Amino acid sequence: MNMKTSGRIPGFLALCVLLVLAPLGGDYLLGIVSEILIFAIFAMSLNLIVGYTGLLSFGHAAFFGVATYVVIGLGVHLGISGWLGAIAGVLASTALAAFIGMFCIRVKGIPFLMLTMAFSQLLFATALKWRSVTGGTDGLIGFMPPDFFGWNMGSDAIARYIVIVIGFLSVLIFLWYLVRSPLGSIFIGIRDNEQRMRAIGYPVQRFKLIAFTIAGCLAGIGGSLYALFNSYVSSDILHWHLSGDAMIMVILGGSGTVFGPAFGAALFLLLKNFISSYNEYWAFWVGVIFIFCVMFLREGVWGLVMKHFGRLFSNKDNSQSRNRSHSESKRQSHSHSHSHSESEKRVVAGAATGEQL
Amino acid sequence: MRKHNSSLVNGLTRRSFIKAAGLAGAAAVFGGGAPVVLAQSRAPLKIGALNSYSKVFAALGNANVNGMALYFNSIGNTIAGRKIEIIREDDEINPQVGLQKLKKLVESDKCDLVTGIQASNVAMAAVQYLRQSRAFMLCSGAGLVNLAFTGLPYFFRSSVNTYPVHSSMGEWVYDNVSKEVLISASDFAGGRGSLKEFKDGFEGRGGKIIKEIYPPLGNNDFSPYFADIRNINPPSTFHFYAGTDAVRFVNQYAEYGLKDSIPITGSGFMLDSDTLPAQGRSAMGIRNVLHYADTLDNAANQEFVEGYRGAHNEYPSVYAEYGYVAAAVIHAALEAIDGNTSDRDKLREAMLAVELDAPRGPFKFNQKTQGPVHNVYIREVAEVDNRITNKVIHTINNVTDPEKLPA
Amino acid sequence: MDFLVSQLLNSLVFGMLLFMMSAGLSLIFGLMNVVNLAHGSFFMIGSFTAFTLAQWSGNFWIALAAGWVPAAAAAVLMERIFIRPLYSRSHLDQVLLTFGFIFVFGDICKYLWGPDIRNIPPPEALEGAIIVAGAVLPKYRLFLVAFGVAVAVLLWLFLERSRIGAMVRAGVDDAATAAGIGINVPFLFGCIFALGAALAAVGGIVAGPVLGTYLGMDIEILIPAFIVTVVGGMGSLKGALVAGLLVGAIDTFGKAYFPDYALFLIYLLMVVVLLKRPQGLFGVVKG
Repeated sequence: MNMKTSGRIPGFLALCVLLVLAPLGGDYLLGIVSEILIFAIFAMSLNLIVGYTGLLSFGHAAFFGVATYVVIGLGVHLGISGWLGAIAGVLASTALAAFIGMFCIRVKGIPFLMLTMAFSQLLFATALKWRSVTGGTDGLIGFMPPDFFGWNMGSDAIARYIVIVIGFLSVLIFLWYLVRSPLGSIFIGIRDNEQRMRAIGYPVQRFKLIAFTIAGCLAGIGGSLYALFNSYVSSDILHWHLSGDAMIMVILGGSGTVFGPAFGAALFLLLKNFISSYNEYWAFWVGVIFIFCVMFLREGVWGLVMKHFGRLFSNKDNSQSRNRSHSESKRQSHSHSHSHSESEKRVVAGAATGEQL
Repeated sequence: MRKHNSSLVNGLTRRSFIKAAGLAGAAAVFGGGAPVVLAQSRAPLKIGALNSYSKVFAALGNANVNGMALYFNSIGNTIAGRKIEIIREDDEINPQVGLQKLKKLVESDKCDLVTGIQASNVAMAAVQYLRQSRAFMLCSGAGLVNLAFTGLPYFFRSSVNTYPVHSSMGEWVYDNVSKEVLISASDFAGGRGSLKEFKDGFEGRGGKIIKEIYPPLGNNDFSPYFADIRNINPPSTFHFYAGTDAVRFVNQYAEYGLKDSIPITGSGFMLDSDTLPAQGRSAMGIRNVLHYADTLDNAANQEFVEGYRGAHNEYPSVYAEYGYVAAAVIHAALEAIDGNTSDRDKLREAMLAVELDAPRGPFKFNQKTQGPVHNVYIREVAEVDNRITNKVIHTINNVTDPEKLPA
Repeated sequence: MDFLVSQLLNSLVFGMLLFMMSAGLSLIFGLMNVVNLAHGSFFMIGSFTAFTLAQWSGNFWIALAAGWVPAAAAAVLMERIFIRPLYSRSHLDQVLLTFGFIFVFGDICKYLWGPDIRNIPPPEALEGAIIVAGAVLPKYRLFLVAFGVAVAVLLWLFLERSRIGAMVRAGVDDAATAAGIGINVPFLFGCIFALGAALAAVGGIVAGPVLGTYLGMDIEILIPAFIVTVVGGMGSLKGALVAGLLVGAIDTFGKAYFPDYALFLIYLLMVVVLLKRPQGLFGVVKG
């Protein structure tokens, strides 16, 4: 596989520079950036299954929220340290993803979407009612964040930020290598043509489950970090609203690249905060931009950026342009409608091989 | 199906979409919202208004700011030569979001003081922050009793403490309605807390609570609970619901015929101008308790109600009155120190000394808890001048925070 | 006994509302293969419009007769301008598109009507309740059930007995062939989308006096409506009715007898149906 790292290193370094400079902007800005990074993790994890494996899920909040609940719950009820809680949280999300995934992958397309939503809502209903454990809508208060090398994460915004940055970069780098690995190619193959993969002999279901589980694990990392950042959780975190928000971030940023959804998370949260300071109808504008992206900018804003500026750094190769025209041509919706609608090949424009960051 | 080029879509091209959205967007975002800062001899007075402007508390947040704006407009939007600038931030009823926005208002926007906060969970998170930051806050919303015992010198509350309000009702119900009562509220902290406050007053007098019922928050249909109530047949009932639950509960209580057979009383928060229009005749005759009523017959209230109606074409709710009184308090305190907000201790002294005639009646601060001292009214929903509202049937004077935090 | 009777009425009431929502969703999916996540928005728009009409005219029936029009108009515009260009794209893109509209419609309602809770007063003739076997049965709720039955019958007549209905059924079965024999499929799509929206809007109007009219009612009704559509089967009117009544019953009786588990039960039902019989009770397996 041809690793076009010539353009990637500068991009990655630029990102690191930005991250290092952020604390200079004050605690408030740092808080916003921290939140963006956490949701970037969440959105990138969702994109592993949406953009790279072709499974559209509306229930991803489950894996994020469960981790948050585990961390806060263990801390508040049993006094367990945030670090141990975080490990437990990630394990819980991973196990949950494997369990739910086993059921969900049995169906495809719209039923898959509905099923993921249903499982997530089951968890939401549980959190809502099981007040003694979860606090219901009121949530759990009194969580004490742990220390990070001597700084307390509760009082020190920079300590929190550093932990979150470490988490974000780890997930980003992991995903970057994953989608370029043989395993990643299998996911992409499933997205592009599931039947063909099966015909070749791949146990497609097993790999879908692996993708789903990894995505759940990464979402759990996001959720645990959110617990350490927020020191609070309520049943809102398991509502499908959050799953929807993650989907918006993926689409806004672009589902074709690993970094796209992170960019989308930044875009979404900045828009929301910026617009809501002036105007209470931010939801309208986010909706408009989202619709625009679905209709005209399917590669997302980051995909657009990559298309125009990425050429400055890397050479176009044949496989890229072949895949781009492949995905842009339109098909009859009736022939092969069943198999085509489950995988999302037309959903992703441009970076079908995952070559771009 | 026809094949089409991805960039030309049945007349709605990418370009035209962007153009249309962009123009509309720019106009809406910038045309309507940004406050204008004129060249002044003194720096503008920045007041942060941290409320919930979205989701279920949206009406409360908006009313709060409307009330403030009404008062400030009436004094020319200037105090001691400083132009008033209100900066709104939405806490989304989420403590973490509220905390972030509070930090923004204090550290980034450099507000002279912050008011608002309707949601009790956000208020509690804010108090934590205020311990560290020494920012000045005049809470004009959240009513939970704990906020009276923060011990923070720069934290004032001008809205209400629901504890004495509901416990006074408990006492009044025992004295005037029945010695035994069935109570219900939505199953959330606000509901459970309010019933506890009522119980303290009611049981304190010697009353007996027959049963407590807690339907889930956001419940659609109360008929199962009504069946239960009908079976028990208590001599009277007391309830606390908010928002859509309040509307549905009151409407259904009448719809199912309970209102005729079992006397109902409730918290004033479920029967105020924000819900009465939707409750209509179903609310008639229900006795309730609140520290305000829009039919109060005093000069300040008349000016307030008329002004609010003129500006918004509707009657003000208790949440608007919160904002109005907060603004009046800020005015009085700042005028006394000539608008100098840099000395927090002086501001605090000035605020402690504030005494005014508010729409709700005489108002001043409790010197120990820095919460309000005001009247509490037992009201009854009635038709006054062709409008369904509350008339006052009993006044309790000088109600304030209890001596210490109740168990 | 009286408890059972009044709960039965409530389950029918909720069931009928769900049926009206789900019928529209189901038809739209059956014919156009579009999952309209913004369906709840039509429900809300109808309710708010009717509130305004009821205020102006003082008459519930006028509000009911005309209140669905803006929602249907919005649906026509939405289909024509935004969804139609996406027919050749994957169905999941269409789902995403409709999802964006939830935000757009939600804020439009907030802008037009503000954040306060509204209430459509029921007509005077239907105020109060009658007592049957010791059970208190509010007259308006009885009307709602009857109305739902009437809507079901009218829909059935439309689909089974009218020309357009026949075209719709043909399109649901096989749109390519339908187009092949000369049916103007795009026009039909527009009609059905508008019809679905109108059904949802009417549901919102008649639900007003019972549930209230407020921001957020679009999201609240959406999941139950989807559960009903999935359980009943996408594309099946009969499924929408049966599943609507089923879910209405489980929800109502669940809340009455197992209040902590009622919500859980409904989602569990959806999960079980999706796993065991993804096409739903009466749905058509699309080839």
